[in-house]
Amino acid sequence: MSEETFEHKPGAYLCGGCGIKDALDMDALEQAVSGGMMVSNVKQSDSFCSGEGYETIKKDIESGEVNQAIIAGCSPRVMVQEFNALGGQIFRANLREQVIWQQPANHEDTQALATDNLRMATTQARKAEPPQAHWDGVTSLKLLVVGGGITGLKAAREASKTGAEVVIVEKTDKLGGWAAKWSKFIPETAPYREPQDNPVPALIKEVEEDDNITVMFNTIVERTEGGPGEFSCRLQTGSDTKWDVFGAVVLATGWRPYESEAQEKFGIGKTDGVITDIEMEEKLAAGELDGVKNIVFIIPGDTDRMVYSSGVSDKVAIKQAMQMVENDSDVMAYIIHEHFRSHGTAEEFYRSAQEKGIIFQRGEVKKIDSDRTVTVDDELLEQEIPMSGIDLVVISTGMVPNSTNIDLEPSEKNPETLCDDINPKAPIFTVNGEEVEDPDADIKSCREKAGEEPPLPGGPLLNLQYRQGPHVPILANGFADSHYICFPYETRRTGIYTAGPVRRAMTATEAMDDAMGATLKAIQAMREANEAKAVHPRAGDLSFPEFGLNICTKCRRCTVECPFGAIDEDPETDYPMINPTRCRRCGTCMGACPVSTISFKNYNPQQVSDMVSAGTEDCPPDKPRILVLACENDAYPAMDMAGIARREANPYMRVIPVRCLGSVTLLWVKTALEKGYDGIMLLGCKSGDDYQCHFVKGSGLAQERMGKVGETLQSMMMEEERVQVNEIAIADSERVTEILNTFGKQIEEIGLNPFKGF
Amino acid sequence: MEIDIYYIDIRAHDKMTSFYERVKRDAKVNFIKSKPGHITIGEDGRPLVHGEKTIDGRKVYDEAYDLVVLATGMEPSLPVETGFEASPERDEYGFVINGDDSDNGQFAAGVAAGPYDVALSTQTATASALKAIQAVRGN
Repeated sequence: MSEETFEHKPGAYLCGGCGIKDALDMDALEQAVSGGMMVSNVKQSDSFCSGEGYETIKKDIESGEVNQAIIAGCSPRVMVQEFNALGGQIFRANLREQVIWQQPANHEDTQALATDNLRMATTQARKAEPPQAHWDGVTSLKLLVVGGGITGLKAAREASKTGAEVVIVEKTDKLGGWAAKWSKFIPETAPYREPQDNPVPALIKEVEEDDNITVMFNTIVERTEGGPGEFSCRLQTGSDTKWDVFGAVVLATGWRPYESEAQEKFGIGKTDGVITDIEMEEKLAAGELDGVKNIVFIIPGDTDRMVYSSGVSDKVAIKQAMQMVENDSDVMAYIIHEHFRSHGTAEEFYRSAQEKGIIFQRGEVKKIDSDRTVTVDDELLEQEIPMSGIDLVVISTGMVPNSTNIDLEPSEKNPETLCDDINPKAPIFTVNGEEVEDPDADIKSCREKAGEEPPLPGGPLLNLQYRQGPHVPILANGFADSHYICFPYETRRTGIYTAGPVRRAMTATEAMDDAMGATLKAIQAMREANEAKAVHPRAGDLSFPEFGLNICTKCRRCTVECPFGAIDEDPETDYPMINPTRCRRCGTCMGACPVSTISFKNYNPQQVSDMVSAGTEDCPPDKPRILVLACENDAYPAMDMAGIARREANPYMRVIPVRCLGSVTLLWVKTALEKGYDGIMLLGCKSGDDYQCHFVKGSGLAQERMGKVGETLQSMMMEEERVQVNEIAIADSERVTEILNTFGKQIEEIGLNPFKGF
Repeated sequence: MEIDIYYIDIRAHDKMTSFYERVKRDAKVNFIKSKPGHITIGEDGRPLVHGEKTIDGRKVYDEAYDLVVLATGMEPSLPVETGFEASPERDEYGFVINGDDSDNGQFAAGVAAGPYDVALSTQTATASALKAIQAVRGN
């Protein structure tokens, strides 16, 4: 990698399209850019995203005249691919969504806002250099699939079809897992009405004949080091171990049957002829059901079990009942349930079952006698009905995820437990924010409770070498799943993706689709890592954090606060040491560093500090200035959407998009106060146990850090209310305007910053 | 404010199970098993919901509300004629039937393929993206 100094050659392109030129004085902007902002190469056009305007920028860059294009016009969130295709570094100044669409046209405050946005963008360019790949070596493009059941088999096949080499590590001596044993499959394609043939044998054959796929039987992953592109795994087969290097991991370790008190209550294992749905499947596969004429399926309604069955039990009961009545028209089949959870297209399957004469009864099963008389508290008849003469009773189980390896002893560190989206015991608040009295509410955070609960059975699946522990993180109930509905499959371990029942209860057919999705993410991760780029959410990002070790005080804050285990301590020097491919380029380390010695080539503490100053440089002494640091993930889009809805906003705000609130360093807040900003608002995604922060801990850390700013403010004789942190979801475009307007009024009441104009 | 939810089955699947449990604990939310028969406008101009409670003594009710919200379903918005020479196969509801390999290089994701929520839609999206990549590669 060359260490030539980068020569800044900025070009500013002021777009007057989309009504911008009718609301702003474009010539005045041009003068300001070539004057005070010192960018002599300035051009105007009615459209820079297409046609002549686009070609102009392209020519400037291709000729070498410009290597940093500052495009003022629409929001940085739109036209991204079009402008990135120009080559060169692209910087954007938002004149449309957050200026002309929210401010009165041809007004001096609107013009000031537009000018300041442009000044901040030119400052951003001045302090930025093009990011370069942090390495240029070749990485592994081989996929590791843990688990040889239907999910793992499908993942391996699909990866192989894209040209990847795959290794399947299977704990037992057979492929196919549970699904290989199923007599029939639940239909997931139209017309949804009949059980399907089992596709697993054919899939196993495909895998065996696929030269790209190697299967290791009786093998577990004993240790995993590194990150995407360079997962060094020690694979253990019996007493033999072997190292291999992989680009990404798909975790498809499946499930084990749920055992509950209901089973004991119903006599499974004790009463003859009372079995689980899994045992029923085995009997169907073996053809051992002659003589069974009256069969009852029970789907117990207890919540603990339902978390592990998610509607799968209902479909299984229908399928098994159908197989019985289709095999022998004398068979009477009853399905007893409390809510019938055949959601979506399974409704057709449900209807088909009813048409075949299967009887659905709604109620709680009170008891099962030793002669198999089933007593149901029938909901419709409102009385207890005994059903006798039953030959076989089938009780639904559930699918407990194998998010740990239960053959191993629990490790010292429990898996990092994150809360499910919804904590069923969380206190309830009314619309006005008042708490409803609820004696059952459990106020302890999920994390506190996880600390008290006994460790999950089993040891780590991959034995990761992460400072956060060896386990793959789990959600409540042990599912190894993403906390984001928009980023499925991801775990908090970069490059490792979960698929199939280990992440939520699903049918075998759903698991095949799930495997495909996880495989796509895994292949993306491998290929991005190969080019030294980040994976989601900053997919394709080449920049990476650099540490100025000469100033580093070894305080370790960066190491501890990184949500992705991307920083460790160098065992020899104690300085921070980065695991580059794990890094998601969020900048939380940058925000953590008390001496601001961590930076990215195109995003660094000094740069944003200068942008902060630039936003208020021209501020008249009697006008307020509010700095808004808005995270690009949810907050900035919400503000754009307020603009799209044409909601009027406070003209004295200066908005700087940041990668994550976690990257916000106190230096920026101090600069803002010294330069005369009257208020500072941090806007980011939801923190806490039900987090939505796209980098997990960023906004939570910002809350903590800003809590300490209160002291600094006091020492400067300023009110604590001047610095606030607020949480915004992407759908909050109305609320964000209200929050900012309220803040503006608060600042007005407190009065202007006494340091303004110094 | 009090809320009544009229339902036949509560089909809260996956993580929604916990959500349902939580909402059930709210004293201001009532779950009533019933399929309302019809809604008229009452004398005071508010909507009047008429029906019979399926359990709970089979009581017939005429309840007035300030706001009645009807749960609807999702139909795919893909027109029958897509404009492509070979249109994808549909089921009787208009959803696209997705196979593993597509002869015509067309794959459906999200509600085009079935009545899915956000989580399931993103799943089908990633799966379809992979199938599309494979199709382009010529597998």
